Amino acid sequence: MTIDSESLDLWIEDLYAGQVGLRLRLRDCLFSATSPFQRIAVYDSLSFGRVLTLGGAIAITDYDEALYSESLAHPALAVLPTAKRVLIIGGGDGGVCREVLRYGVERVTVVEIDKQVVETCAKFFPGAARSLTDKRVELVIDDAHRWLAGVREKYDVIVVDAAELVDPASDAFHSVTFAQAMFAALAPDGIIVAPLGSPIHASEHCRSNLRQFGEKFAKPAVYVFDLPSQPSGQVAVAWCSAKHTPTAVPKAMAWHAELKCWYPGLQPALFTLPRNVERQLGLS
Amino acid sequence: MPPPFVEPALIRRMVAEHGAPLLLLSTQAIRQQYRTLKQALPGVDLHYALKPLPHPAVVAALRDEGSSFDLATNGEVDVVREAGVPPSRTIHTHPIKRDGDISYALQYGCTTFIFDNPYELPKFLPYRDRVELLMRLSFRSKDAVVDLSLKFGVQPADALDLLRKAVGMGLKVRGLSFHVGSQTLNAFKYMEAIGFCRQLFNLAALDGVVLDTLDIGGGYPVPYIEPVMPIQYYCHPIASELERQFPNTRLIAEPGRFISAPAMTLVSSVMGKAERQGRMWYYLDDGLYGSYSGKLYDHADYQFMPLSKLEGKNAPERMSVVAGPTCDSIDVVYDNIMLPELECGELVVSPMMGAYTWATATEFNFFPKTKIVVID
Repeated sequence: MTIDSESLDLWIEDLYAGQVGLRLRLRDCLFSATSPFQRIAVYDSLSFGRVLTLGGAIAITDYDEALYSESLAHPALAVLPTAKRVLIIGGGDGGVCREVLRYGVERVTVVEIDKQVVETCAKFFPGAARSLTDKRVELVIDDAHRWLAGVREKYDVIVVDAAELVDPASDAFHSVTFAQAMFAALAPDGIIVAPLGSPIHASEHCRSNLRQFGEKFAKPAVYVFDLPSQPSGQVAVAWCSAKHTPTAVPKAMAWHAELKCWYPGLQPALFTLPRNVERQLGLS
Repeated sequence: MPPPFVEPALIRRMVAEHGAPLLLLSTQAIRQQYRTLKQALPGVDLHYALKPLPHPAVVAALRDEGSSFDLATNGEVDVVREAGVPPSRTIHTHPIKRDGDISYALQYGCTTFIFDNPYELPKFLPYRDRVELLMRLSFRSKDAVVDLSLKFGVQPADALDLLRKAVGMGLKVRGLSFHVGSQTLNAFKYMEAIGFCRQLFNLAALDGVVLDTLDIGGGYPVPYIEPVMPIQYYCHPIASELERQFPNTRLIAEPGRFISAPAMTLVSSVMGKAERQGRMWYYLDDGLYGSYSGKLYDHADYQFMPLSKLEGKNAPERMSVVAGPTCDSIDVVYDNIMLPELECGELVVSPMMGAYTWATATEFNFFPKTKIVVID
């Protein structure tokens, strides 16, 4: 079905905590379905190109998928380029996986709960989803919290690529919290990267997430990157390691030239936060 | 805002015809409450919980509005059956049942039941081809984010095992239910419970059990003495969370108090009076063992005033005590209340007396339950 955007005034709205939001003007609805887990839709928007929404919230867009994926993968992998095993929690679109595969990893495990997200992205976001067919990628369809409970293996890098990191609802159904399950699966010198949320609109949520990491790591580092398709336009990310520090300028690689956003010189700058953001996250 | 009192002239007319005490029931108010809540929770099938006021006139009015019904006992089954409610519009929500309770409801045609523990499951086996089940959850968080568990409900950590057990026995589980408790001041508890249920829907789906029904229970608040948030604002976050998290799901709510409380007004009369230790005591023909039983069991409080005041007569007031008619000293309805001097036989009124009043009244001392008269 094609929607005539001349005669119809179509918009989607993504609200952050029901209070502040982003509206996108649409050209068309390309796909809409309800999986056993959520409503999945793909729209064609005037500003951001294709937009994937999960449960009504914007997940990725053509315009800034690379910004998001690079900003989650490289700040950790550039510090630990020798990482052999990488775990991506969520990430059914394949974007973060594509970035991780640029390094010499042996295996990338992607744990996505919803098979239909993977299928939808394969069709509408092939540039991201193609990475999931790489030989080095193990795609697990399961609830990550439940799956982690049965994992013996240790991972050098764990990237959380899911909407909710600390979810009291999920924690209630399992014997350990999600954060504890993740810590148990991390190699002793490994790195965890986990989005905290908007530092402006959800500072309390960010702080409580950070407290969970504080139980394991003496001083979790925090960086912030811009993400235009998020209602807040900004995402704060926790960067945790018992051994490594994030702020040195990584060695340049030839393939860095292919990236849209991240480059070695950006790395220390990411971790340099404006004072108001530091305060809102309880860092100063 | 509390709804207006029933017209004083109508009250006098009704008492002249039927005597006092009297509970005046407005089926128009029942219909209005149903429509208001229906509008506040679009897409949710409202199942009136009979408990607070299992009266045939209430059931008939709601039947005509298209409402569904939440039943808990055989007596409630009788009420809806006699009102001609199609059994497809009913669910049976008592988590603990005897065989006779299940078979009686099934005989009527009600096929949806609630369970919350493994001991209940074998009871459904003889009827497994006909029954559909909802699992009731109780939510308790160590951070005390939400604590909804009192008497019923399976704990979240045990929920998936219980669900698997039920499915493994060949029982058809359609979904989940919860109850956040009554008269809560905001909707946060619902929001959290909805998030928990989504998680469990997801875990079940990974096991190949696709649930398709969510019952969000009751508890929608009404103003007794203190005002409460208007219901459309109260329900707005619930409705948008349901829309976001539960697409293509049959949604059920079980309002009881919200629909019935504003629909009944109590009129009683002063049986006698006395002056004791400087305060006036008035003895009514209804009390704590009767229609005011909600003050004990339901922790509710009600407005109270002489009918003459409602008619605009003002008189000096003094500290008084209002007691019920029984011989028990606990039977005091209002200790320390400012009232004008009342005469024997004078009428007094309490509005918002529809929920858990007549339903929980006793006939202690052979004082019969107060008669309900439908006024419209």
